[in-house]
Amino acid sequence: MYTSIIEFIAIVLFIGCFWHATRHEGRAFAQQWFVAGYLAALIRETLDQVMLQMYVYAPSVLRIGSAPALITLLWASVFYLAYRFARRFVDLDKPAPVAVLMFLIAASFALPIEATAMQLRWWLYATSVRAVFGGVPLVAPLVWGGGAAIFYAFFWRVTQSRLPDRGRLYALITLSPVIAVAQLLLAVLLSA
Amino acid sequence: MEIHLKELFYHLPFALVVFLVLFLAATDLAIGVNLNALATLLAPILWLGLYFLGTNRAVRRR
Repeated sequence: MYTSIIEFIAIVLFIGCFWHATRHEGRAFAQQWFVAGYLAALIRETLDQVMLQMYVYAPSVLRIGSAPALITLLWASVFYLAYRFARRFVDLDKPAPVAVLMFLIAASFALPIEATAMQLRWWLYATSVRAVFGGVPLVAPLVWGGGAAIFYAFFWRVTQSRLPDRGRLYALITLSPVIAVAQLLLAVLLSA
Repeated sequence: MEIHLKELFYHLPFALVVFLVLFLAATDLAIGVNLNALATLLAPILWLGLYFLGTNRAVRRR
């Protein structure tokens, strides 16, 4: 019901975050972050919808194959927002504190999205075990947080390499299925 | 006091989170959700409050 609301939010956040990253982190950073983030989300959602179906999207959601085309933009955007908030508190040369803080911030940002999604049935979880805040499974925000930490861990490792910018982009594109599977495994483990 | 446009846009992530909170709050109120769902908006609001308490370490180091 009213899935265009969350798709509109996803587009606004994506454009805003991409523009900001281009201006303040550099064009190469923006390409690497958002291309890899979107690809990883798209692969993860496809795997989930085809194999696991831990949650099911509303029929009105715009899709590429079986994965949502626009809602998946949210992941890279929320991760970027969490990254920008986290870097105000910790040094970027220490990846572990950044990843931990990104976990907490991304989970916090995702919580109201999940709560509204449950009310408007943008997506529905197969299980309602340990539901909080009007039906949101407890694992849902944790999966967002864990997804952010995993993505940052891969991103940081690649940016520490000696590859040129274009090489880092290709490396992250190549690694995006691995990121997707790692995020999916986390979701499965937390849901068990 | 002169306000630089570039400085304002530097805090765009803050503005985007404000947009997210306001848009979700308006949606929640429009459909009349229960208070439990509305209470979840406090989580990002907490980080919005903390945002300006944090110093931008990366910039400061530069």
